Amino acid sequence: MNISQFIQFKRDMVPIAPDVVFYLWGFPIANSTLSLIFVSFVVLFVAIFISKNISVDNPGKLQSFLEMIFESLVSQVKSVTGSEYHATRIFALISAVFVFVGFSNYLGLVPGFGSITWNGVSIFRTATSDFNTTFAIAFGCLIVFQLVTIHDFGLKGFFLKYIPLDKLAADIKKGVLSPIYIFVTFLIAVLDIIGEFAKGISASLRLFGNMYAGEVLTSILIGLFAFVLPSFWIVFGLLGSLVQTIVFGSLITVFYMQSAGDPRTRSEKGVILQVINSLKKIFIWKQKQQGI
Amino acid sequence: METEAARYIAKGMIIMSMLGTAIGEGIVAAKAMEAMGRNPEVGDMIFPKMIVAMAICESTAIYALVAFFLI
Repeated sequence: MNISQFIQFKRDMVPIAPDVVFYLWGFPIANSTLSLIFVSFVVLFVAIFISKNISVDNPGKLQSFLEMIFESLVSQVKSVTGSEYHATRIFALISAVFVFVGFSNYLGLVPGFGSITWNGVSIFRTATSDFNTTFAIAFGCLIVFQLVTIHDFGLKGFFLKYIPLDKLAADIKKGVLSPIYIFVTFLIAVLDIIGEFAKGISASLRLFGNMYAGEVLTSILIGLFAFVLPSFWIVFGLLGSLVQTIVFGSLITVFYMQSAGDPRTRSEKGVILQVINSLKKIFIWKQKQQGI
Repeated sequence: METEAARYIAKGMIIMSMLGTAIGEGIVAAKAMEAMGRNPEVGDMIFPKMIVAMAICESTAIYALVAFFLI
């Protein structure tokens, strides 16, 4: 055994597509899906546990730690949105994204996390290093933000945001309209619609690319010099995971700010707001019935 | 030329995109630092905006990374 075999370990390159661990009624369950479910359950149980045992007089270590995270999240969302109203409105969604992505990123740095194997396939893989996860998060958020746009501006305002027919009509009245102007307006409308999809794809590709590159670079460094070198990269990964979490959460917040308006300044009420209000009325009515 | 050789040349060319991204992110960071140095009170306001701007600058590098793994 020569010295180069001693300090260099051959490790298989992490594939882009996640490995399928088992099939549940013909539905493939990949290892990133398993770690996604694991992360969700851990976050859920910690949240339930801490909200049961919450105390003002005698806060425990875990409670203090979570309060610290919570306060930094609040200040982060407030500084990106820049308004109290929007921050309180979107905080639940953004903080869920922050906590999920951050916890997934940090779980990948735990030693032995990807080493547990079953039938030759490791059963856990960093959830955010799978493109399906990040794409699902970003696209789900974008769909919510489209609904927010409809809620804030109404269906008419939603369509006018993409195809500004009202501005065209105003220009026709003024008499300053050329065919090139109409053509450019519709071109910009098409670009805006493509841009909505591109936002989700680029934000999710960024998170996936960074986390996946981290895993690949770890494998390469272990193959290069297995003893001291990877630890530097893992320490850098501690910072990188945090930065990527902040970047992804900030981008989602920025997308929200691009699509949201202020519904308090609107005169007529939108379709979704009417539905929500009627649901609220039914809910209050039921509570009253149960109370009596 | 063999196909494998062409692939390696293409990968090397993709790595060249690091150059532009590094310069762009450096400019963003330098300007943000300059602004913070001139007016330290707005540091907290500038920092998240700098992060977002850097992320947008970085997206080209991420596309290059994806292309790197696809080739």
